[in-house]
Amino acid sequence: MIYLDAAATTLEKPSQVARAMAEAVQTMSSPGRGRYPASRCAEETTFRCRNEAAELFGVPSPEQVIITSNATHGLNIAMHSLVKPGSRVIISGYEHNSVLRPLHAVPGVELVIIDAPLFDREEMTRQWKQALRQGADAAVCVHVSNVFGYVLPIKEIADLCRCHGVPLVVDASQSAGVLPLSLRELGAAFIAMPGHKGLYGPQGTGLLLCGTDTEPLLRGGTGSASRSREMPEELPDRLEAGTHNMPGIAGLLEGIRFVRRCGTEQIAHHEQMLVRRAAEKLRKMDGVRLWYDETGSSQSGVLSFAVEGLDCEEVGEALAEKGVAVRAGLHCAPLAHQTVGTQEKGTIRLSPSVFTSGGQIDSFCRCLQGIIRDSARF
Amino acid sequence: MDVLLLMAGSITHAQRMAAMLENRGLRASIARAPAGVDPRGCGYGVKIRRAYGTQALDVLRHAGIKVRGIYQHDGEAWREVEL
Repeated sequence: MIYLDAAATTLEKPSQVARAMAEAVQTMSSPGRGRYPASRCAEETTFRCRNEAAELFGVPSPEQVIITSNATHGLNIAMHSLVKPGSRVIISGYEHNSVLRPLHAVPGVELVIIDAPLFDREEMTRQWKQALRQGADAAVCVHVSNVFGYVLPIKEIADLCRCHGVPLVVDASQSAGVLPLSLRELGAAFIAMPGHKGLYGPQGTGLLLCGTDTEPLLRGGTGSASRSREMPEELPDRLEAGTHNMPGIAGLLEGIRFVRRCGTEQIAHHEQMLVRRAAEKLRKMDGVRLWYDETGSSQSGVLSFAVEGLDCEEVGEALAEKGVAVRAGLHCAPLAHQTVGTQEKGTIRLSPSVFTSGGQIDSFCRCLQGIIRDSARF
Repeated sequence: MDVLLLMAGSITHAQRMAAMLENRGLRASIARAPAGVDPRGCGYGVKIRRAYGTQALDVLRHAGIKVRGIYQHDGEAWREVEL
Protein backbone atom coordinates (compact mmCIF):
# COMPACT_ATOMS: atom_id res chain seq x y z
CA MET A 1 0.00 0.00 0.00
CA ILE A 2 1.07 3.57 -0.67
CA TYR A 3 -0.08 5.47 2.36
CA LEU A 4 -0.69 9.16 1.68
CA ASP A 5 -3.01 10.04 4.54
CA ALA A 6 -0.51 11.12 7.17
CA ALA A 7 -2.52 14.30 7.78
CA ALA A 8 -5.16 12.04 9.33
CA THR A 9 -2.82 9.55 11.03
CA THR A 10 0.76 8.58 10.33
CA LEU A 11 0.22 4.86 9.82
CA GLU A 12 3.88 3.96 9.55
CA LYS A 13 5.61 4.48 12.89
CA PRO A 14 9.14 4.00 14.13
CA SER A 15 9.41 0.39 15.36
CA GLN A 16 10.26 1.51 18.89
CA VAL A 17 6.76 3.00 19.27
CA ALA A 18 5.03 -0.39 19.16
CA ARG A 19 7.76 -1.97 21.30
CA ALA A 20 7.40 0.66 24.01
CA MET A 21 3.62 0.28 23.97
CA ALA A 22 3.78 -3.48 24.36
CA GLU A 23 6.21 -3.12 27.24
CA ALA A 24 4.02 -0.51 28.92
CA VAL A 25 1.00 -2.82 28.91
CA GLN A 26 2.99 -5.30 30.96
CA THR A 27 4.93 -2.99 33.25
CA MET A 28 3.10 0.28 33.94
CA SER A 29 0.04 1.24 35.97
CA SER A 30 -0.59 5.00 36.24
CA PRO A 31 1.52 7.89 37.55
CA GLY A 32 1.02 9.14 41.09
CA ARG A 33 -0.74 6.06 42.40
CA GLY A 34 1.95 4.64 44.67
CA ARG A 35 5.63 4.00 45.26
CA TYR A 36 5.56 0.50 43.79
CA PRO A 37 7.53 -0.19 40.59
CA ALA A 38 4.62 -0.22 38.13
CA SER A 39 3.47 3.25 39.21
CA ARG A 40 7.01 4.61 39.39
CA CYS A 41 7.75 3.29 35.92
CA ALA A 42 4.59 5.02 34.66
CA GLU A 43 5.65 8.23 36.41
CA GLU A 44 9.10 8.20 34.88
CA THR A 45 7.79 7.51 31.38
CA THR A 46 5.17 10.24 31.65
CA PHE A 47 7.66 12.72 33.04
CA ARG A 48 10.09 11.96 30.21
CA CYS A 49 7.31 12.43 27.70
CA ARG A 50 6.40 15.82 29.18
CA ASN A 51 10.06 16.84 29.26
CA GLU A 52 10.77 15.81 25.67
CA ALA A 53 7.67 17.70 24.53
CA ALA A 54 8.58 20.74 26.63
CA GLU A 55 12.02 20.86 25.03
CA LEU A 56 10.69 20.38 21.51
CA PHE A 57 7.95 22.99 21.87
CA GLY A 58 9.58 25.67 24.01
CA VAL A 59 7.46 25.09 27.09
CA PRO A 60 8.98 26.57 30.27
CA SER A 61 8.10 23.63 32.53
CA PRO A 62 6.91 20.04 32.05
CA GLU A 63 3.88 20.71 34.26
CA GLN A 64 2.51 22.85 31.43
CA VAL A 65 2.46 19.84 29.08
CA ILE A 66 -0.93 18.15 29.43
CA ILE A 67 -1.46 14.72 28.01
CA THR A 68 -4.75 14.47 26.18
CA SER A 69 -6.40 11.84 24.04
CA ASN A 70 -6.05 13.84 20.81
CA ALA A 71 -5.90 17.43 19.52
CA THR A 72 -9.69 17.74 19.67
CA HIS A 73 -9.59 16.97 23.39
CA GLY A 74 -6.92 19.63 23.92
CA LEU A 75 -8.80 22.21 21.85
CA ASN A 76 -11.96 21.53 23.85
CA ILE A 77 -10.10 22.14 27.13
CA ALA A 78 -8.56 25.33 25.74
CA MET A 79 -11.85 26.74 24.49
CA HIS A 80 -13.69 25.64 27.65
CA SER A 81 -11.11 27.63 29.62
CA LEU A 82 -11.42 30.80 27.56
CA VAL A 83 -14.81 30.96 25.89
CA LYS A 84 -17.97 31.77 27.85
CA PRO A 85 -21.54 32.40 26.71
CA GLY A 86 -21.59 35.63 24.73
CA SER A 87 -17.82 35.69 24.13
CA ARG A 88 -16.47 37.29 20.99
CA VAL A 89 -14.08 34.83 19.35
CA ILE A 90 -11.94 35.38 16.26
CA ILE A 91 -11.03 32.36 14.16
CA SER A 92 -9.42 31.82 10.78
CA GLY A 93 -11.45 30.62 7.83
CA TYR A 94 -9.40 27.42 7.77
CA GLU A 95 -10.53 25.88 11.06
CA HIS A 96 -11.45 22.25 11.54
CA ASN A 97 -14.71 21.05 13.09
CA SER A 98 -12.69 20.41 16.25
CA VAL A 99 -12.79 24.19 16.67
CA LEU A 100 -16.13 25.03 15.06
CA ARG A 101 -18.29 22.52 16.90
CA PRO A 102 -17.12 23.33 20.45
CA LEU A 103 -17.60 27.04 19.72
CA HIS A 104 -21.04 26.41 18.23
CA ALA A 105 -22.04 24.64 21.45
CA VAL A 106 -21.42 27.73 23.59
CA PRO A 107 -24.57 29.88 23.67
CA GLY A 108 -24.36 33.33 22.15
CA VAL A 109 -20.78 33.19 20.94
CA GLU A 110 -20.04 35.95 18.46
CA LEU A 111 -17.83 34.33 15.84
CA VAL A 112 -15.61 36.52 13.68
CA ILE A 113 -14.23 34.51 10.76
CA ILE A 114 -11.13 35.71 8.93
CA ASP A 115 -11.72 34.42 5.43
CA ALA A 116 -8.62 35.65 3.64
CA PRO A 117 -7.75 33.93 0.34
CA LEU A 118 -5.68 30.77 0.25
CA PHE A 119 -1.89 31.28 0.56
CA ASP A 120 -2.29 35.05 0.98
CA ARG A 121 -0.47 35.50 4.27
CA GLU A 122 -0.36 39.28 3.99
CA GLU A 123 -4.10 39.62 3.59
CA MET A 124 -4.66 37.13 6.39
CA THR A 125 -2.48 39.19 8.74
CA ARG A 126 -4.20 42.41 7.68
CA GLN A 127 -7.64 41.00 8.41
CA TRP A 128 -6.58 39.67 11.81
CA LYS A 129 -5.22 43.09 12.66
CA GLN A 130 -8.50 44.70 11.73
CA ALA A 131 -10.63 42.21 13.66
CA LEU A 132 -8.48 42.42 16.77
CA ARG A 133 -8.87 46.21 16.91
CA GLN A 134 -12.44 45.65 18.11
CA GLY A 135 -11.22 43.33 20.86
CA ALA A 136 -12.07 39.71 21.55
CA ASP A 137 -12.27 37.27 24.43
CA ALA A 138 -10.28 34.65 22.56
CA ALA A 139 -8.76 33.80 19.20
CA VAL A 140 -8.33 30.36 17.69
CA CYS A 141 -6.11 29.73 14.69
CA VAL A 142 -4.91 26.64 12.92
CA HIS A 143 -1.18 26.66 12.14
CA VAL A 144 -1.48 24.60 8.96
CA SER A 145 -4.72 23.91 7.09
CA ASN A 146 -5.48 20.20 7.17
CA VAL A 147 -7.08 20.50 3.73
CA PHE A 148 -4.70 22.66 1.72
CA GLY A 149 -1.44 22.49 3.64
CA TYR A 150 -1.52 26.28 3.88
CA VAL A 151 0.92 27.50 6.55
CA LEU A 152 -0.85 30.42 8.18
CA PRO A 153 1.20 33.41 9.44
CA ILE A 154 0.90 32.20 13.02
CA LYS A 155 3.80 34.24 14.37
CA GLU A 156 2.29 37.46 13.05
CA ILE A 157 -1.16 36.50 14.33
CA ALA A 158 0.28 35.59 17.74
CA ASP A 159 2.11 38.92 17.92
CA LEU A 160 -1.09 40.79 17.09
CA CYS A 161 -3.07 38.83 19.69
CA ARG A 162 -0.46 39.56 22.32
CA CYS A 163 -0.49 43.28 21.47
CA HIS A 164 -4.27 43.36 21.90
CA GLY A 165 -4.26 41.19 25.03
CA VAL A 166 -6.33 38.47 23.34
CA PRO A 167 -5.52 34.89 24.40
CA LEU A 168 -4.68 32.74 21.39
CA VAL A 169 -5.32 29.03 20.95
CA VAL A 170 -3.18 27.42 18.26
CA ASP A 171 -4.34 24.23 16.57
CA ALA A 172 -1.04 22.59 15.69
CA SER A 173 -2.57 19.36 14.39
CA GLN A 174 -0.69 19.51 11.10
CA SER A 175 2.42 21.34 12.22
CA ALA A 176 3.56 19.65 15.44
CA GLY A 177 6.64 17.62 14.61
CA VAL A 178 6.97 19.21 11.18
CA LEU A 179 7.36 22.97 11.60
CA PRO A 180 9.13 25.01 14.29
CA LEU A 181 6.67 25.62 17.11
CA SER A 182 7.32 27.26 20.46
CA LEU A 183 4.86 28.18 23.20
CA ARG A 184 7.40 30.59 24.61
CA GLU A 185 7.99 32.38 21.30
CA LEU A 186 4.36 32.55 20.28
CA GLY A 187 3.20 33.57 23.74
CA ALA A 188 0.03 31.60 23.04
CA ALA A 189 -2.50 30.75 25.72
CA PHE A 190 -2.70 27.17 24.46
CA ILE A 191 -1.25 24.99 21.73
CA ALA A 192 -3.10 21.75 21.02
CA MET A 193 -1.74 18.87 18.98
CA PRO A 194 -2.35 15.19 18.29
CA GLY A 195 0.20 12.51 19.13
CA HIS A 196 -0.71 10.27 16.21
CA LYS A 197 0.22 12.51 13.27
CA GLY A 198 3.54 14.35 13.01
CA LEU A 199 4.72 13.13 16.40
CA TYR A 200 4.49 9.49 15.22
CA GLY A 201 2.83 8.33 18.43
CA PRO A 202 -0.21 6.07 18.64
CA GLN A 203 -3.84 7.05 18.20
CA GLY A 204 -5.50 8.13 21.44
CA THR A 205 -2.70 10.50 22.40
CA GLY A 206 -2.30 14.25 22.19
CA LEU A 207 -0.72 17.19 23.97
CA LEU A 208 -2.03 20.50 25.21
CA LEU A 209 0.61 23.10 26.01
CA CYS A 210 -0.73 25.57 28.55
CA GLY A 211 0.39 29.16 28.83
CA THR A 212 -2.51 30.49 30.87
CA ASP A 213 -5.08 29.63 33.55
CA THR A 214 -7.19 26.61 32.82
CA GLU A 215 -10.64 25.24 33.50
CA PRO A 216 -10.99 21.45 33.69
CA LEU A 217 -13.22 19.76 31.17
CA LEU A 218 -13.22 16.45 33.02
CA ARG A 219 -13.23 16.01 36.77
CA GLY A 220 -12.20 12.98 38.76
CA GLY A 221 -9.34 11.22 40.50
CA THR A 222 -5.83 12.51 39.96
CA GLY A 223 -3.88 10.59 42.61
CA SER A 224 -3.39 13.92 44.38
CA ALA A 225 -5.27 16.29 46.75
CA SER A 226 -7.79 13.51 47.27
CA ARG A 227 -9.68 15.11 50.16
CA SER A 228 -10.73 18.06 48.05
CA ARG A 229 -13.94 17.93 46.05
CA GLU A 230 -12.37 20.43 43.67
CA MET A 231 -9.86 19.56 41.01
CA PRO A 232 -6.29 20.48 42.05
CA GLU A 233 -5.12 23.95 41.07
CA GLU A 234 -1.77 22.62 39.87
CA LEU A 235 -1.04 21.47 36.37
CA PRO A 236 -0.91 18.86 34.99
CA ASP A 237 -3.23 17.21 37.56
CA ARG A 238 -5.88 19.89 37.07
CA LEU A 239 -6.52 18.72 33.52
CA GLU A 240 -5.71 15.01 33.77
CA ALA A 241 -8.52 13.26 35.60
CA GLY A 242 -8.60 9.48 35.54
CA THR A 243 -6.11 6.74 34.76
CA HIS A 244 -3.52 7.60 32.15
CA ASN A 245 -3.15 5.91 28.79
CA MET A 246 0.27 4.51 29.59
CA PRO A 247 0.79 2.42 26.44
CA GLY A 248 -0.11 5.55 24.48
CA ILE A 249 2.21 7.78 26.48
CA ALA A 250 5.08 5.30 26.17
CA GLY A 251 4.53 5.17 22.42
CA LEU A 252 4.22 8.93 22.17
CA LEU A 253 7.49 9.38 24.05
CA GLU A 254 9.26 7.22 21.46
CA GLY A 255 7.55 9.09 18.65
CA ILE A 256 8.72 12.45 19.97
CA ARG A 257 12.24 11.11 20.44
CA PHE A 258 12.18 9.93 16.83
CA VAL A 259 11.08 13.37 15.62
CA ARG A 260 13.81 15.06 17.64
CA ARG A 261 16.42 12.69 16.24
CA CYS A 262 15.27 13.28 12.65
CA GLY A 263 14.84 17.03 13.17
CA THR A 264 11.66 18.86 12.23
CA GLU A 265 13.49 20.81 9.53
CA GLN A 266 14.55 17.59 7.80
CA ILE A 267 11.05 16.16 8.07
CA ALA A 268 9.48 19.34 6.67
CA HIS A 269 12.01 19.44 3.84
CA HIS A 270 11.32 15.81 2.92
CA GLU A 271 7.53 16.21 2.95
CA GLN A 272 7.60 19.49 1.01
CA MET A 273 9.90 17.93 -1.56
CA LEU A 274 7.41 15.07 -2.02
CA VAL A 275 4.48 17.44 -2.35
CA ARG A 276 6.38 19.51 -4.91
CA ARG A 277 7.16 16.33 -6.84
CA ALA A 278 3.50 15.37 -6.81
CA ALA A 279 2.41 18.87 -7.81
CA GLU A 280 4.78 18.93 -10.78
CA LYS A 281 3.32 15.68 -12.11
CA LEU A 282 -0.30 16.44 -11.28
CA ARG A 283 -0.29 19.78 -13.04
CA LYS A 284 0.63 18.04 -16.29
CA MET A 285 -2.44 15.80 -16.14
CA ASP A 286 -5.53 16.79 -18.10
CA GLY A 287 -8.39 18.00 -15.95
CA VAL A 288 -6.49 18.07 -12.67
CA ARG A 289 -6.93 21.16 -10.57
CA LEU A 290 -4.37 21.83 -7.85
CA TRP A 291 -4.43 24.08 -4.82
CA TYR A 292 -0.72 24.61 -4.46
CA ASP A 293 1.42 27.56 -3.45
CA GLU A 294 3.80 27.88 -6.39
CA THR A 295 6.21 29.95 -4.29
CA GLY A 296 6.41 27.10 -1.80
CA SER A 297 6.66 29.56 1.06
CA SER A 298 3.31 28.75 2.64
CA GLN A 299 2.83 25.15 1.54
CA SER A 300 3.44 22.31 3.95
CA GLY A 301 3.40 18.59 3.21
CA VAL A 302 -0.32 18.44 2.47
CA LEU A 303 -1.76 18.89 -1.02
CA SER A 304 -5.33 19.11 -2.29
CA PHE A 305 -6.44 18.49 -5.84
CA ALA A 306 -9.55 17.60 -7.82
CA VAL A 307 -10.19 15.98 -11.18
CA GLU A 308 -12.61 17.69 -13.51
CA GLY A 309 -15.69 15.57 -14.19
CA LEU A 310 -14.87 13.03 -11.49
CA ASP A 311 -16.33 12.86 -8.02
CA CYS A 312 -13.67 13.19 -5.34
CA GLU A 313 -14.95 10.25 -3.33
CA GLU A 314 -14.96 8.08 -6.46
CA VAL A 315 -11.37 9.04 -7.20
CA GLY A 316 -10.46 8.22 -3.59
CA GLU A 317 -12.15 4.84 -3.90
CA ALA A 318 -10.48 4.09 -7.24
CA LEU A 319 -7.11 4.96 -5.73
CA ALA A 320 -7.84 2.72 -2.72
CA GLU A 321 -8.59 -0.15 -5.11
CA LYS A 322 -5.15 0.39 -6.59
CA GLY A 323 -3.56 0.38 -3.15
CA VAL A 324 -3.19 4.11 -2.64
CA ALA A 325 -4.58 5.67 0.58
CA VAL A 326 -5.73 9.28 0.28
CA ARG A 327 -8.52 11.27 1.91
CA ALA A 328 -11.35 12.69 -0.18
CA GLY A 329 -14.30 14.91 0.68
CA LEU A 330 -14.49 17.75 3.17
CA HIS A 331 -11.81 16.53 5.61
CA CYS A 332 -13.91 17.54 8.67
CA ALA A 333 -13.15 21.13 7.68
CA PRO A 334 -16.17 22.50 5.77
CA LEU A 335 -15.20 26.04 6.73
CA ALA A 336 -11.83 25.73 4.97
CA HIS A 337 -13.59 24.41 1.87
CA GLN A 338 -16.10 27.24 2.07
CA THR A 339 -13.29 29.81 2.31
CA VAL A 340 -11.64 28.41 -0.81
CA GLY A 341 -14.87 27.66 -2.67
CA THR A 342 -14.60 23.88 -2.74
CA GLN A 343 -17.43 23.16 -0.31
CA GLU A 344 -19.73 21.66 -2.95
CA LYS A 345 -17.47 18.94 -4.26
CA GLY A 346 -14.62 18.76 -1.79
CA THR A 347 -11.09 17.81 -2.79
CA ILE A 348 -8.74 14.87 -2.72
CA ARG A 349 -5.92 15.28 -0.28
CA LEU A 350 -2.56 13.59 -0.27
CA SER A 351 -0.26 13.88 2.70
CA PRO A 352 3.03 12.00 2.88
CA SER A 353 5.10 11.33 5.98
CA VAL A 354 8.78 10.93 6.66
CA PHE A 355 8.42 7.29 5.60
CA THR A 356 7.07 8.12 2.14
CA SER A 357 9.47 7.85 -0.80
CA GLY A 358 9.66 9.75 -4.06
CA GLY A 359 9.02 6.47 -5.86
CA GLN A 360 5.72 6.08 -4.03
CA ILE A 361 4.67 9.55 -5.14
CA ASP A 362 5.48 8.59 -8.72
CA SER A 363 3.44 5.39 -8.37
CA PHE A 364 0.50 7.34 -6.97
CA CYS A 365 0.68 9.70 -9.96
CA ARG A 366 0.71 6.77 -12.39
CA CYS A 367 -2.33 5.28 -10.64
CA LEU A 368 -4.19 8.58 -10.86
CA GLN A 369 -3.25 8.98 -14.49
CA GLY A 370 -4.67 5.51 -15.14
CA ILE A 371 -7.93 6.36 -13.37
CA ILE A 372 -8.31 9.54 -15.42
CA ARG A 373 -7.54 7.67 -18.62
CA ASP A 374 -10.02 4.90 -17.81
CA SER A 375 -12.74 7.38 -16.95
CA ALA A 376 -12.31 9.11 -20.31
CA ARG A 377 -13.27 5.87 -22.08
CA PHE A 378 -16.81 5.90 -20.70
CA MET B 1 15.96 12.86 62.02
CA ASP B 2 18.31 14.11 59.38
CA VAL B 3 15.79 14.09 56.53
CA LEU B 4 13.70 16.94 55.16
CA LEU B 5 10.55 16.55 53.11
CA LEU B 6 10.04 19.28 50.53
CA MET B 7 6.39 19.26 49.54
CA ALA B 8 5.27 19.49 45.91
CA GLY B 9 1.93 20.27 44.32
CA SER B 10 1.81 17.15 42.18
CA ILE B 11 3.86 14.11 41.27
CA THR B 12 5.14 15.99 38.20
CA HIS B 13 6.19 18.92 40.37
CA ALA B 14 7.98 16.49 42.72
CA GLN B 15 9.71 14.87 39.74
CA ARG B 16 10.90 18.25 38.50
CA MET B 17 12.23 19.11 41.95
CA ALA B 18 14.02 15.77 42.27
CA ALA B 19 15.48 16.00 38.76
CA MET B 20 16.79 19.51 39.40
CA LEU B 21 18.41 18.51 42.70
CA GLU B 22 19.92 15.34 41.25
CA ASN B 23 21.32 17.40 38.37
CA ARG B 24 23.13 19.49 40.94
CA GLY B 25 24.52 16.41 42.67
CA LEU B 26 22.07 16.46 45.59
CA ARG B 27 20.49 13.10 46.37
CA ALA B 28 16.73 13.40 46.31
CA SER B 29 13.98 10.80 46.39
CA ILE B 30 10.31 11.21 45.64
CA ALA B 31 7.99 10.23 48.46
CA ARG B 32 4.27 10.17 49.17
CA ALA B 33 3.44 12.66 51.88
CA PRO B 34 2.80 10.95 55.24
CA ALA B 35 -0.69 11.34 56.69
CA GLY B 36 -1.12 14.71 58.30
CA VAL B 37 1.52 16.51 56.29
CA ASP B 38 -0.68 17.43 53.35
CA PRO B 39 -4.18 18.39 54.50
CA ARG B 40 -5.42 17.90 50.93
CA GLY B 41 -4.41 14.21 51.08
CA CYS B 42 -2.35 12.11 48.65
CA GLY B 43 0.46 14.61 48.38
CA TYR B 44 3.92 14.18 46.99
CA GLY B 45 7.26 15.55 48.05
CA VAL B 46 10.98 15.08 47.79
CA LYS B 47 13.15 13.76 50.61
CA ILE B 48 16.64 15.15 51.00
CA ARG B 49 19.28 15.05 53.71
CA ARG B 50 18.87 17.79 56.29
CA ALA B 51 22.48 18.85 55.80
CA TYR B 52 21.73 19.85 52.20
CA GLY B 53 18.51 21.70 53.01
CA THR B 54 19.65 25.27 52.47
CA GLN B 55 21.62 24.38 49.36
CA ALA B 56 18.66 22.45 47.92
CA LEU B 57 16.29 25.33 48.51
CA ASP B 58 18.71 27.71 46.84
CA VAL B 59 18.91 25.44 43.80
CA LEU B 60 15.12 25.21 43.55
CA ARG B 61 14.60 28.93 44.12
CA HIS B 62 17.18 29.72 41.47
CA ALA B 63 15.38 27.42 39.01
CA GLY B 64 12.03 29.04 39.81
CA ILE B 65 10.62 25.85 41.33
CA LYS B 66 8.34 26.56 44.27
CA VAL B 67 8.29 24.42 47.40
CA ARG B 68 4.89 24.05 49.06
CA GLY B 69 6.30 23.45 52.53
CA ILE B 70 9.30 22.02 54.37
CA TYR B 71 8.77 19.24 56.90
CA GLN B 72 11.06 17.49 59.33
CA HIS B 73 10.37 14.51 61.56
CA ASP B 74 11.02 15.37 65.19
CA GLY B 75 10.85 11.81 66.44
CA GLU B 76 7.10 11.90 66.97
CA ALA B 77 5.65 13.44 63.84
CA TRP B 78 6.42 15.43 60.75
CA ARG B 79 6.36 19.14 61.51
CA GLU B 80 6.67 22.14 59.26
CA VAL B 81 9.97 23.95 59.68
CA GLU B 82 11.61 27.01 58.21
CA LEU B 83 15.12 27.09 56.87
